Amino acid sequence: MTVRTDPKPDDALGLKMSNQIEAAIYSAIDQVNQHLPMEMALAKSPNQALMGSGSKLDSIALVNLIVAVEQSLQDSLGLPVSLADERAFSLTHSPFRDVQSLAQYIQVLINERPATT
Amino acid sequence: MNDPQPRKVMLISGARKGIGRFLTEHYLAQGWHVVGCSRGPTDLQHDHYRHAQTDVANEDDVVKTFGEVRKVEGRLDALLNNAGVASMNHFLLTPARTAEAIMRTNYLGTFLLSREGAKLMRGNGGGRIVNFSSIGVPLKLEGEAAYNASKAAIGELSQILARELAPFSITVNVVGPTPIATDLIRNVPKASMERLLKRQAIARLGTFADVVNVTDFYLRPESCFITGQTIYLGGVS
Repeated sequence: MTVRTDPKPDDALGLKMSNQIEAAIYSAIDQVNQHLPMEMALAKSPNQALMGSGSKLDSIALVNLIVAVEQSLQDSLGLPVSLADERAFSLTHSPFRDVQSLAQYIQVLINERPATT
Repeated sequence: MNDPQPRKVMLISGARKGIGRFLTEHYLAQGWHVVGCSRGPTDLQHDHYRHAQTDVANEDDVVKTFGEVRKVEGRLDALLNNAGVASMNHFLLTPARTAEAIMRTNYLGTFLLSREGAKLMRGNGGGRIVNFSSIGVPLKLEGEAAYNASKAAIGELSQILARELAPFSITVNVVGPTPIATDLIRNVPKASMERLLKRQAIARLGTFADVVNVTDFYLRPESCFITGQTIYLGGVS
């Protein structure tokens, strides 16, 4: 028999934040898809590649997506976040490799924000 | 019903005084909505003016300011990166902290505002960025190593941004003013100033109107094919 435990308040907040980040990314994907040919449209999935052989985005389309994510985060969370990163175009270390790595990167940035802002 | 002529929004850094204040009042009079920023408060009151107390070299400050512009104005059409600091000294006597402070305000400030401004312009189909250099760059003025290096960096930055931002229909150009009677040259000795003016083709101090003439040109709709250019005033090249 398994014992179900209620999530701690911090876990619940973390889950809510994680869902909001995912929703912000998917909202940005919707925006970017409007300007992409049907066959290049991005799937709203954690595994959707944003760079490399699995992605059909060129560098301009990737930049458009990242900026749309920033603006979507600001709209949904009220947080001005800059997703600038020196590893942006590194195939192995870029936080923009796929939707999942992007979501994790945003979570780290938000956690690092000073509590006063 | 769609507004046939949506309002045009401009952000001017260093808007509190000097050239920045003049630019602000000029573009307000032309019907622009202007967001001015500076480290201190302003006494300027206008229905179409909002002031943001922003340190242009502070990334968080800048991101927050443009977030507000996006929230309140919903768009950005032009950015005038006018904020700047100057210092004259012999290279051998220039403290590292002075060189760093000049580079942070002049170069990093232009870098950050251009980055965040371009993100907003991209959303409304393009825009204009005008950066501020100085005739000190082509004249290689002694005593201004730190200042001129920061302004030369702005020139290089602008030429590359012109290429990187062209796909977003954003032009990036530079105006290089001569000395103008502002706080920036208050402490320059008279003899040095006269020597400098003699190196210009037209040997006089510049005026705010001389600068606005160039920014007006870069902002004109017809200037959409002009990018990556620097216009120096006073006949300096």
